[in-house]
Amino acid sequence: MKRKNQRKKFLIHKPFQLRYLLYIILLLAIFSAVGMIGSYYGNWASVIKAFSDSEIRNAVTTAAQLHEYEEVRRPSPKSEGVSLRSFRETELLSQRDREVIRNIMTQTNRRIVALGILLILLIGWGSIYLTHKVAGPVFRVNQSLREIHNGNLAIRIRFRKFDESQGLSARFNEMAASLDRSVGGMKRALREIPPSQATEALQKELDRFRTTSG
Amino acid sequence: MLKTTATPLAHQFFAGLVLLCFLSYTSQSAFALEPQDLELLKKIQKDSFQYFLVYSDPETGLTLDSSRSGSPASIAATGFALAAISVASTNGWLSYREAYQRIDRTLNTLEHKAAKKNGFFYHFLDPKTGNRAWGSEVSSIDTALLMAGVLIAAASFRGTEIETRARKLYEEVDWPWMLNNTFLFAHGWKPDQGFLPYYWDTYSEHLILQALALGSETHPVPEQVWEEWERRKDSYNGTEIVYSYTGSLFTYQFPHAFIDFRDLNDREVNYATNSEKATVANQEFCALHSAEFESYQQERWGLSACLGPDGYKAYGAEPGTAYHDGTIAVHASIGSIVFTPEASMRMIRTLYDEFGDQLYGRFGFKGSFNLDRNWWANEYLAIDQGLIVLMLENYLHDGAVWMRFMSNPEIERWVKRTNLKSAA
Repeated sequence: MKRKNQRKKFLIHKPFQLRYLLYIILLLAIFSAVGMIGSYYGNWASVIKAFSDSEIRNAVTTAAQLHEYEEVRRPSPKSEGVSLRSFRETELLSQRDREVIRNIMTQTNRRIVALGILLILLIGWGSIYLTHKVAGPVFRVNQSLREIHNGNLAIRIRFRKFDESQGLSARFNEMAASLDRSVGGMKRALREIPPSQATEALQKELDRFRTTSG
Repeated sequence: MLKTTATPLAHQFFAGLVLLCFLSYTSQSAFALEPQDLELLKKIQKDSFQYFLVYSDPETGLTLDSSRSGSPASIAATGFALAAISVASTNGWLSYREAYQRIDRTLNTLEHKAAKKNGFFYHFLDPKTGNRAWGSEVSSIDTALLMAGVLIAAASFRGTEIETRARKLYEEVDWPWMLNNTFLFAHGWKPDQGFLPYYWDTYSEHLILQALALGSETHPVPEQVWEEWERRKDSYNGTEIVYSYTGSLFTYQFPHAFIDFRDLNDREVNYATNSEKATVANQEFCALHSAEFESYQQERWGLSACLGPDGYKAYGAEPGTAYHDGTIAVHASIGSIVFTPEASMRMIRTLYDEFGDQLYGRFGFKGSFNLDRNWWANEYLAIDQGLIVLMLENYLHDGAVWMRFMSNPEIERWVKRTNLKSAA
């Protein structure tokens, strides 16, 4: 069953909608790219630094020294063989590597959370900017219609330079000017023309308007 | 009239008594230093202290174990740093405010960031984060050395927030936990292994651990703990010594950097005298082997744990396993200055005059050398630097560190509980 108010056409204002589609895609693409590039280089920079030649050299030396510290503190009457010593130093190194990776992951997670918050803030700001281009004119038109409803036909509107639907303000102003002229003319006729002629003039002017009551 | 004549006499008597006490107290410093030697010792002490300024993390205050690139922070090093900063403040190398701020930063890290269990800290930490590093153990002796530094800071900044916080850190250490249901302290504990299968069961540097644990009011260990470890004795050249397993001089020095053992007797043993004997034995041992090793010639000596041509070794003399290969630890002779001032000064002067080009750098003497293999250490170790600063402070300023440490009520409690009677 077809719903009564189902949209038949989604692109009702093609250039306008496509332009906004482009804006949103561009915005998301830029922010995602910043996030991805940032975390990619952040991670790799940490990994590359942690496993650079000099760091590995330092780690191997430290592993040997820490193992020697343990030997000094817990001396044994029998000196341990070269293979056992290598095994223990390798064990220390692998422990160290696990710590380094864990640290990098922790730092990366923190970085991603921080970046996520920053991106949400930027996307929020971008969305407000974009929607303001549409919401601003709608708000202004709504306000002006209320003025006209209250009888102020002298109202005119002007949108900001980068607001959407610049044509709408011109058409609105034309409508307001037309109503202003009609009502003004009728008021002038009542004021300045003799009553017998005024009725005719009013009738002529009112005939321009089509109303529900005929 | 009587009153007026008696008063000067009483004053003279009292002044004489004070002088006698002072001379008696400073008897170990009685050897008269030449002015240039005094200046040299001051220079060494100040230069050695600089290590703690440069190699302590500016944010966390944790001190690197070594000047070598990639070194982790060590809690023992951090303990020595706390004590050294307190010394620097009294000597005018740091303003009171800067010293206070540095100690405040370190305490903050120890309170909130540094990895620990039951008040004991992990041996090695990441200097930036305070996380456990290198899969290290929760260490009993290194926590004790840290707490010794913490108590020196407490005594140096009495009446301030530092004293309160430092004492709280000490009071949080659950010393009985490290006994692992025995009367001996375990070397450490690891999350994946539990307690390490090694215990402090013979004489060594663990006296500082004993003192701090027995003196605790919040987590005291039973008095039997003091009796449980073995005091092995052996003779060297006719002198009986309570000796450590390796015969390394650092085992006779580390507790003595903080504790003034001169007036304390453990039954018939006085550990200050014992360390003096061990130091003399170390000198005689080197002299005996001077024909084998060029390093030991011309009365050079100093066998202690240090870096050597084949890595870090527990070099030592008899009595003990006495492993040696001609490598001399520079900090050993400086750290012995309170025991054998003349011999230490001769050695320091020789090292400075003859080998200063190779051994002396920005932070004082580098760790060690071996003339037989033409090998010279190229790095500084924090605990050696700390030992140098504290022992020279004790020597040059009449036991200044000892007085501060012994004034802590925790240490008085240890002395009382173990019945370490006054030598007098």
